[in-house]
Parts: sequence; structure tokens; C-alpha cells
Amino acid sequence: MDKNATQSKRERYLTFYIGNEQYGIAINRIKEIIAMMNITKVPKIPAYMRGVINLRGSIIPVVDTRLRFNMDYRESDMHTAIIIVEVEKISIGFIVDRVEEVSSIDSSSLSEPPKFGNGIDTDFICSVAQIEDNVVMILDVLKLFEADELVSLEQIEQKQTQGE
Amino acid sequence: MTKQEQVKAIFIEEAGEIIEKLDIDIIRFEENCSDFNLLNEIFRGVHTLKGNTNAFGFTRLGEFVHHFEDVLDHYRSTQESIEEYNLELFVGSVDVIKEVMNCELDAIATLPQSYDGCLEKIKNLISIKKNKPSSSQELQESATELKDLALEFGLSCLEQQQNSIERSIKDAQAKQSEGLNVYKIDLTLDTDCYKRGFDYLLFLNMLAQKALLLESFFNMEGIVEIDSFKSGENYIGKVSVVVLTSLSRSEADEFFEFLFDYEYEINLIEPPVVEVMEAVVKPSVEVAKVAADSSASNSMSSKSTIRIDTFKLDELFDSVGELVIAQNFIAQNDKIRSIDDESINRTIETLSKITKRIQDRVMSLRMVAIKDTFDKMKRVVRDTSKKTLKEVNLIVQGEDTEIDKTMIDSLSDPLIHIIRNAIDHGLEADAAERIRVGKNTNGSVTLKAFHKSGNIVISVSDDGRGINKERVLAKAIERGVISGDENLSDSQIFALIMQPGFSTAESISDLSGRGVGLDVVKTSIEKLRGKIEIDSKEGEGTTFSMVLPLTLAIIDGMLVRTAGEIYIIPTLSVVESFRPEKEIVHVFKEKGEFVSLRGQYIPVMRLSDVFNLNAKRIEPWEGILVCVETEGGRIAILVDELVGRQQVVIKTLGKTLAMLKEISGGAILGNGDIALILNVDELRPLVEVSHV
Repeated sequence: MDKNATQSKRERYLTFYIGNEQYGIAINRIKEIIAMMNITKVPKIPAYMRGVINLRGSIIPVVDTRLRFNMDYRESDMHTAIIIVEVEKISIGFIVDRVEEVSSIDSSSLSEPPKFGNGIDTDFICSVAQIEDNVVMILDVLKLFEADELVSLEQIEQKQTQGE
Repeated sequence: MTKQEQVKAIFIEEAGEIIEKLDIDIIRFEENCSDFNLLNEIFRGVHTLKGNTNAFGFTRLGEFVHHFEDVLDHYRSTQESIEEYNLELFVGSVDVIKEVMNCELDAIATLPQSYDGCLEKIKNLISIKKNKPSSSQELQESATELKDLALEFGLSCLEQQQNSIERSIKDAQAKQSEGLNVYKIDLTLDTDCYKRGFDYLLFLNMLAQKALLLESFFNMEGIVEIDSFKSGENYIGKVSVVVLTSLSRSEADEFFEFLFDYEYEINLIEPPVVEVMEAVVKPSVEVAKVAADSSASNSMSSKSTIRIDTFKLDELFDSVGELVIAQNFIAQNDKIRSIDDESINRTIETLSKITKRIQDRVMSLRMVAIKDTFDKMKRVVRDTSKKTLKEVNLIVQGEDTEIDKTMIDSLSDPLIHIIRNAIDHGLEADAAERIRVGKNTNGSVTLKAFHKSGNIVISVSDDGRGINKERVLAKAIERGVISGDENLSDSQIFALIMQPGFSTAESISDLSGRGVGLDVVKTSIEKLRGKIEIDSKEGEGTTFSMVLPLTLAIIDGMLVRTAGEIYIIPTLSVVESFRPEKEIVHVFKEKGEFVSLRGQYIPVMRLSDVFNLNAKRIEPWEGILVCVETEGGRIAILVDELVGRQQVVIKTLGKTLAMLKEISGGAILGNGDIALILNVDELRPLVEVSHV
């Protein structure tokens, strides 16, 4: 047995690229990864919400992670993938440029994200990890979900229906 | 959830069902109080409820139900006709049971006010009834006789008892004639059988009524010393009964349906046949398992059903949807179609048929007859009629009409509201007023369910005063709902009464007229993707029709294409679609387009404007106008072309997109693409029409 295992927890993360940077999401939230598919546009939603896809009979919304992080739009290519994340039975797809691998990251190698000034929002990053030569920014899925304003709006709506 | 909690949850659900059924049965019984089968049914329900409540420590409910059961049992066994004021007490008791159940569930310490009063009345009734001499004197005698027997044999040892039983059987056989059977019935009971509602004497009395001869043998071995004797417990573990009766086997079984099957055994003693020539040799003692029989007789009235989590149903539903799409894909795939092979083609065709059948079946799983809901309404009508002191006849039609289960649950409240409204406001104030206008003294309310062009219509009609249009208009202006300048059609005027804060009732009554009425009904029906239509003739009556989709999961949709995307417009709201002549299209200030159609001016709405789509702007006469009925009046939606009409399965756009008002959901088309379903009531033309 690895002695470290008793002292620190190793967790597995799916890593992927947006532009030149590597990001990671804890694997337990990920339902599946699919290739880019036909997205149906939905009117009157924020631009980073690209629309909805038909995932084997369920309709789920898709967020373009590049646009979400205020990066430039990029045409999809053969590497573009959609990571389906599920939180409390709600699924959202996140479009990423390229999926890399699943890596185990020791919790001891996770560190606080750097703090920037007002201009840059690090809300979605919960920690930064060093894997060999690469720096991986670990994303907080729950925050992404919440911050998409949609979940909170939905909660408001639920309250309204309860109020009736 | 622990096992105990699970069992409790099941109990609560069952108890709810029993109480619901009691509610319906008691009203039916009130209508026809000589129907003792129904009384039996009610008794059985109360009995089961009693056992369950005590098991889960709902003692207050248990206590009440216990006494209620006694009263019911009295009437049930004596078949005495029931006095009207007692009927009222029964109905009240069911109410109390309902309320106490809620108190127990929510662990509320205070009981409803009616509890004590009602319980007192029931107890009084029992003591009155018990002191009266019973209708059948004979029965009393046999009962005392039975007690004597019990004493006589009480102290005899087992062997002696066995001999007595055999002697008794011989006696019985000696008296046996054509059509009579001799049974030996052995009861094995636990100490708690009284608490479960079983009483030897009561039971033996019942059996004795049907018997020519009855002897019972009590095994007194289990009796404890007097100082450790508890009155609530049963110490007579075994009882044997020999009975000569005309009852058939299954009829005899019915007497024991309250007992577990290991607790009793009925043996038919065959007559000592000697002279019969037939070779049929039956075993002299026939032992049959009673459980199967009794459960069969119980379930005669109710269909055999199975409880399924609706979530699982939805999953199944989704999977079938995928199956249909996959099947379509195969059927329409060019490569597969180009295969020139008879058997492959045939297989694909079979596959499509099977898929269709599965789809239909799965759909029908969600459908239930509306009967239960209508039955509940009988109670509402009765109560309202009592409160308002108006005599009302309820006419129910089409109660077998099937409707989506999820819809039924949210349909009760609107229905109750409309029915109360119909009786309270719709009908004339009293019989005298009805006679004055030449109507029958009893008002009538008709509850009807039927299919109409792919929808289900549930209507409530009364034959009362009808809606006074002038009064509605005056009120609407007074309340500021409308300005008074509008030129409204009849149906638009009637629709005003469903506006929030609108109530024309002269006095605010307990039942309705609190101003928060019909608008709530309207919103809850709209949530079900339905709509309410009101039709009324002054002096003749009013009809509220709720037009609902067949199921919540499917709508009949018109597929249209605009700006390269396919959208679905619910056919329910489509009035017509047409390609306009250039001459009837007009533009206001070069912005607001409208068409004049048969004297009506209908604003044209471009989806590309509402949704900010980048699309080539087409002229109305190049496209198609789909005219739809919305809350804000008619509008004409300009689309590029009509694609077709199709039944589509509605899916939510992931809960995250639920805030989009203009879109009520999405549907997956045959090719796997998603089409958005428009919520036409939220579509507003850019140039607002004057009365919106």
C-alpha cells in the first residue's frame, strides 16, 4: 500500500484543453464525453449558451466554454468535444477544444489559484495542480452550474410555483 | 429509507386510498341506503384502516375508527334501515377520519374540533343500538346457547372435546338434506385478535344466522388465572365449529376474510354416501386454501393493478422515444433501402409495426379513466348543495374517458372550484326563483368528459341564471380590468370573469366569490397546456369547458420552418394558416404589419424579429401566415413554409432553459433533430395592439 494514500487523497480528473491551457474537472461529475454534434439554436439566451442537443432522447443545453470564459469563438474541428456534466439530475454539456486524459492528482499537489485584480474572474477555478510539466486549472463544476444564472433562476421559479 | 419507514409509507398511501374510497362510497350509500353490499364495502375499508392505524401508533385515529366500525357493523349485521340523521353522522365521520389522518401524519397535537363531538355521537349511537333488542330474537337465544356450550365444554380435556366434535358432526349429518353442507371450521387465533377486530361471538352470531345448526367448541386450556387476566386479550387459542348450513364453500369463506389464512381452516364434511353409484371418489375431508378464494372475491370490484413509480414510466417513455427515432433512421436510411432483399424489407416493416405498438402501449400506461375524479365531485356537489341550501341534481357523463394520470391530479382543484361556482353563483338563489322563471325546482349540474378533435374536453354545465354580460362589463370597468372602449365579443366578455381580482358575486360567501377564484383555475388549466372556454345564455345556464391535451407528454403540433429552423406551433391554438394576398397586408408606420381578414385586423408577427434571428426578410405574401389564438387576441405568425403536422413528445429544454417564456419545450423529430415548441401566449407582435 502506498503510504501517501493514507495521508492525502488522490482524485481523478478529466483534463482538457481550451486554447493552449489545460483544465480539469473532477471525474465523478462527468456523465460522458461525446463528439461535437448538431446543436439546435435557442433564441434569446446568452451567446455562450450555444443551444440544445439531443442526447439519446433527452434535450440538454450546451455551453461553449470558450465563450463562457470570454475567449474568442472558434470553429469546431475533429477534436472538439462536449463534456456532459450532471449535477442533481440536471445535465449540461460543455464544449471544449480537445479532451486530453484522465489523471490522478494527489490532493497535496493542489494549490490555491493565483489572485488577480478586478479584471479577471477566477471564480470557476477552485485550485491549480501541477502534473509533470503542465499546470492544470481545476474547475469548480458547481460554480459553473450556479453561475450560469439558470439554476438560480430555476430555483426562483420553483419558489413561485410553491407559492401559488 | 429504513424498512419500517418504507412500510409506513406504503401504509400511508393505502390509508389515503381507503379514505378516498370511503369518501366516495359513503356518498353513494347516502344516495341508496338500502345497498348493504356497499355498506359491507365501507365496513371492510374501515376495518382495514383500523388494523393499519393501530399498527402504526396512530391511536387517536384508531380509537375513532374503532367506534365507527362498531356502528357500521351493527347496521351491517342487522340490516336495519338507517335513519337520515345517522347517515349525516356517517358522512361527517368520514370527514373526521380524513382530518384526523392529516393530523396524525403531520403529528399535530390538536385534533379537529369535530372529533370529540362526532366520537361522542357515535358512542351514543352504539349504546342506544346495543340496548335495543336485536331484530332477530332467535339469534340472541343461539348466542346464549353458545355461551352455555362454551361453559359446558370449557373444562373438558382435549380428547373429550374431540369426541364431542365427532358426535356433533354425526348429529349434523343426520339432519343433513339436499342442498345443505356440513363444515367443520377450526380457528387458531392469537392473543391480539380482539384488537384486530375479531370477536368470536359476533362472528358466530353471523354464521348462526345462516345456519340450521351450529355447535362450537372452545378450547379453554389457555385461560389464565383471574388476576393476570387482561380483558383486551384473547386466551382461547382454538375454537372448533360444526355447522350445518346451506352456504356454499366460497360463501362460507367470506365470513373469514378478515382473518389470515393460517388462522382458520374450513373442512367440508361429505355426507356419508353409500348408495351413490358414481365412481367419483372424493376425499371425505376437503381442504382448500381460502386465501385464493377470498382474495378473488375481494378483487372482483377492483381491477388488479400494480404500482409503478412515474419516474420509471417517464424513463420507459424516453427509451421508447429513442427506439422510434432509431427505427425511423433504419427505415429511412438510403443504404438499407437500396438492399434488394425481401426478408430484410419485411423485417424492417415488422420492426416498425412493433415499435408503433410498443409506443401506443406505453402511452396508454399513463392513461386512467376520469371516473375517480368525477366520483370525488359527487361529494363536492353534495356538500355545496347542503351549504347553499340548493337542491342539485348531478348528471355525470363520459366517466370512462381516459386522461393522463399526471393531469388528473392537478385537475381536481379546478373542477371543485368550477362546480362550487356553478352551484353557488350559477344556479338561482332558491327554488322560488327557479319556479318564477319556469324551471324545475331542483337545479342541475352536468359533468361531462369527451374527446374532441384530439383533445379531451371536461365540461361543467348548470341550468341556472347564466352570465349577465352587462354586469360583467360594468364590473370589469369598475375594477379597471378593461377601459370600456373595447368592442368585445361574447366569449371575450365571459373570459373577463377569469381575470385576477374579478368577482361579481354580490356577497362573499364561504364557498366562492373571494375574488381569487377563476383566475387560479385558469392558470392551473393553462399549466396543463389546456384552455377554458365559457359559454353562457342568460336565463338558461352556463357551461365551463376545459379543453385539455390528451396527455401532458404529447401535443399535436404544426411544424413550420423559419430562418432555417423548424419550430412547432401547438395545433390547439392554430385557427388557420394561409398565404395572404398582397392586397390584404398593410403596414402601420412602415413597421407594424397587419392583415385584414374578414373584417378583422390581425397583427403579423415575425419570429425572426422576436427571436432576433438573422434571416433574409421575406414579404408576408411570399411566406405563410399561421393565425393563432392567444390570450392577447389573434396574431398571425409569418413563417417561410409549413412542414407538416405531427404528434410530438414534449421534452423540457433541460431545466436550465425553463426561463424562456416564448418556448414551452422541445421535441425530437424523426431525424433526431430538435424542434422548439412555441408558447404562443407569450409571443407579442412588436407593435402592441390597442387592447393588449
